Amino acid sequence: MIRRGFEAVIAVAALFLLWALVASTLKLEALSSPWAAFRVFLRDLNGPLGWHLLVSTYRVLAGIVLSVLTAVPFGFFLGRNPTADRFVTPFIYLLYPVPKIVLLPVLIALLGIGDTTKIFLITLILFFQILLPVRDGVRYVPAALIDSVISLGANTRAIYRHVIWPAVLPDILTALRVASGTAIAVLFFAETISSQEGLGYYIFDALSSWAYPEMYAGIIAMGLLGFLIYTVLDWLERRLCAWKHI
Amino acid sequence: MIVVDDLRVVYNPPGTPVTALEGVSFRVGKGETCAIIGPSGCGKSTLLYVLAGLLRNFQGKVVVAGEPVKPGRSKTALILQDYGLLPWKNTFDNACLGLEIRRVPRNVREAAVKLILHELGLYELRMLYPGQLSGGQRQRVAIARALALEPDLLLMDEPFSSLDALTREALQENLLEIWGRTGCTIVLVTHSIEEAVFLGSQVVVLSPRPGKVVATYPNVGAGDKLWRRDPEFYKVCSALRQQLAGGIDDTQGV
Repeated sequence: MIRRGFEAVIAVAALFLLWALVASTLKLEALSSPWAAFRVFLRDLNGPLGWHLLVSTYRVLAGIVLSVLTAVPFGFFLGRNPTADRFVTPFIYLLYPVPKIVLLPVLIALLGIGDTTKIFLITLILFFQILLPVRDGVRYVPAALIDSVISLGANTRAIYRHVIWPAVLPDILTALRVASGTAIAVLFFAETISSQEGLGYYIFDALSSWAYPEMYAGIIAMGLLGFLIYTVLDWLERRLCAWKHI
Repeated sequence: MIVVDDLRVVYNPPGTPVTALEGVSFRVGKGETCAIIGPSGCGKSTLLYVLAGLLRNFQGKVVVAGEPVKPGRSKTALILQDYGLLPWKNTFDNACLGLEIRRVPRNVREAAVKLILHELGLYELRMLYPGQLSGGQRQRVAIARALALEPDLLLMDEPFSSLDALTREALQENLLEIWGRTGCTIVLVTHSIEEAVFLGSQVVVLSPRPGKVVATYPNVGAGDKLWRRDPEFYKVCSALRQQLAGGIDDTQGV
């Protein structure tokens, strides 16, 4: 853990140095130095920036929780019921490739510009990314494992609890890791278009008032948000899927 | 303990029904060991699935402990070919699984499993996952999990087939000890002639698909650890080998 922390510090320092180098070479007003950005970041973290970071974090986390709560049971169901899966799969394959961001105007029209729209959009993106791996994972759980657990007296609930859930958990966490990058990107977009809160709003607001250091401070916060999510997912993976790391 | 009478199993994949077992009849007395042997694909495993109550779609009569076979009989333990251990549970939790599923209180099941792991020499490995164990150790964990249920009927599918010779022989002797101690009835499926003759106080020989009983040998030597070294052992093995190789048209015993 300490080693990982150390490596993260090195990575951050290297990024800052690179940034400082480019900024001091180009000397553009729109490219603030990292020191100026970081000063604003630390100053505003206790004020508006902190609040916006909190709002964005809340939206992403709510999306993650909702998508897991909906996609996992549905994926279990499809994985265990081939007939239902045959009927539902065409719908999934039609809807999955549509970039969900194009639904933003539709959602704004239907749900307004509040939190609901953004959380729904993130949930939608993550939902599909989790649904398919869960469904496939359930399908490929070896039948012998299930049989041997049935022979121990397991009912359906025990099979899900002891066999299927732990078998697909690593897939779920991987899917979340892959998808949360997209989710943050889409959240940023949604917040710039229809919001008075959130990092997307903060960054665009800074741009429109030529407050460049603020703009970069917002970007740092966005990076921090992503870093936090990845760190938490990594930690969960190591804790819950220890058997994968032997 | 077990009565199988005119058992017939037909698998029904769309289009081409496959008869896996045909007119299979045999009996296993309480506390006996029975080895079922036959060429690959003869329906040995299918037979075990029927005895375990996992496969319900059969014709004929199958009685276990005086009752028609049914799923979820709590005194039947099944050990499958690849041991059926859950990769995400460590040795201790795997061995506990049957008791956990049966809602045995935690302290009771932990005490029981601790004892069994000690007996099987697995206690030091209790924190390791199946992926960290050798084949022989995994098989012992599967046996521990089965024994935790205090079964009166132990069903094993090719229990030692993927192990090296020395481990295999050690585990076969382990199994005899367990049998002697618990007095449970053991039915094991194998394709190894030596294993069948060493472990089965009765050996049931099946023909290629559809599996029929070609012969049932009473095998008085089995159950003794020294049986393997007895000249008689080799005679029985070679008689059985001939039976498997050529005499598949004979219908009943020797």
